[in-house]
Amino acid sequence: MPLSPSTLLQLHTDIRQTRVSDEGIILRQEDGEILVVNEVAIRFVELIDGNRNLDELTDILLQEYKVDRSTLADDLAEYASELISHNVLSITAS
Amino acid sequence: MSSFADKMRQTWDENILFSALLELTYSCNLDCSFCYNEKDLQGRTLSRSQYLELFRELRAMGVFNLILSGGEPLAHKDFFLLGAEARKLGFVIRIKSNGHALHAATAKRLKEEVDPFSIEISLHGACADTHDRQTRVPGSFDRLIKNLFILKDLGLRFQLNSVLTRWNENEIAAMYALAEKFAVPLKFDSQVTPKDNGDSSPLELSPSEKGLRELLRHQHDFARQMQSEATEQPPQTRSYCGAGTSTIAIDPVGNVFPCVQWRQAIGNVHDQRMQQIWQNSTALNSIRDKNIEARTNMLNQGSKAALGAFCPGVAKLISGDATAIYPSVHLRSKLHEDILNNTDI
Ligand SMILES: C[S@@+](CC[C@H](N)C(=O)[O-])C[C@H]1O[C@@H](n2cnc3c(N)ncnc32)[C@H](O)[C@@H]1O
Ligand code: SF4
Repeated sequence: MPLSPSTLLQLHTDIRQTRVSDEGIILRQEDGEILVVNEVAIRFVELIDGNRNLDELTDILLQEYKVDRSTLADDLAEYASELISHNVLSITAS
Repeated sequence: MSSFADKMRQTWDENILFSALLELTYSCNLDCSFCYNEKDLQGRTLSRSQYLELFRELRAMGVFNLILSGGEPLAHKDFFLLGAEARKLGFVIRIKSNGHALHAATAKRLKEEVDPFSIEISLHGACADTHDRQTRVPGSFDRLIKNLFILKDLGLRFQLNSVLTRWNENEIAAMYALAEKFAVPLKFDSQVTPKDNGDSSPLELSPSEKGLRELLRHQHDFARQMQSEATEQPPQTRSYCGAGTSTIAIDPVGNVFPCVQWRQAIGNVHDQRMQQIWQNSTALNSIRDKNIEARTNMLNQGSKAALGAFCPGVAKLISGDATAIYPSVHLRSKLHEDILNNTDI
């Protein structure tokens, strides 16, 4: 499913995450795979609740980081694709 | 982007609390002859609400790994409630258990309600005679094996842990074979430690030099098969280990320690919040200094093998000084070097 501003994302239930200073650690319990992600990506993951769409997530992060909207939207789309490919996230609605 | 190993080094170097081990209770359904727990520990046990508050605080501090141990953690009356709450808070839950109570219904409940990332289960021998001799509970080996099949069927991730002793040192190969049967790792600890109260009677069960040599040979062969180095390079960190720099352990009455082995209290959960202890404890600051000193001390030994054989917590228990190298470190590092240099016969 392609990503769009209205895409709804959900974390897989086996995902555990934390921050270690300015980066995040994501563990996939199912197979023990660990990912280290940057500060914006871990914040993005923290905000995913299955209710906010990509556009709303962009709005929240825009208030927290000094970056223009289109750059942030591109970054989030990239993080989302990457995390989907690692079975961290899935798309629930588009 | 950093690697996970980089992040772990950062937790040690910057005192970022990453793992907390909770000894929920010292009650146990087995009675291991060499158990280090202080069974008659005095004090007020932490209540359910104190644990829940502690969990919230630890999670807010960024703690990732929550290790539930004991005694036998499943013997705590609120084990499932606490486990489920820890899961809700997003901890990576690891359980240290003797496996005795993990029959079908309990194991199923564990998976459904707690969903641990891993369970570390103690194995004391490769046959009932040896295992039951150590646990002092007849039938415990057979029951454990039955339970391991159940865990496997349920898809619960587990590994076996074993302390090398004089009684099981002739069964090393058979214990590895048993672990292989379940396709799980078996991790040996070759150091029998004194009891937490300093009583050295467990040391009577320490393995012989022959037993230690046998274990090291197995480990070396295994590392060679995996084409990895038998001894690791010293990590580029300031401290010797994560004790008090990225880990803590808390006993059933709320005493906080830098690690489960290093029994020097740095505070108590009844009196202070965890954040306060972690940031302000003077005892913890001096432990961190000792940890740095221990690393320098070990590097000065000039032996890579010695590095893996030392534990500041055990040193503290044995001699009162967390940086003092104790005799079994010298022995184990000598045996290790013999094996690396192919001079062991
Ligand atoms: C105290 S037990 C608690 C968890 C659980 N009851 C169990 O036995 O796995 C934790 C681990 O410590 C090990 N242990 C107990 N007494 C020891 C001692 N004196 N020296 C070294 N390890 C010890 C046990 O074999 C077990 O692997
Ligand atoms: S099962 Fe664990 S806690 Fe119980 S007596 Fe044995 S080592 Fe101690």
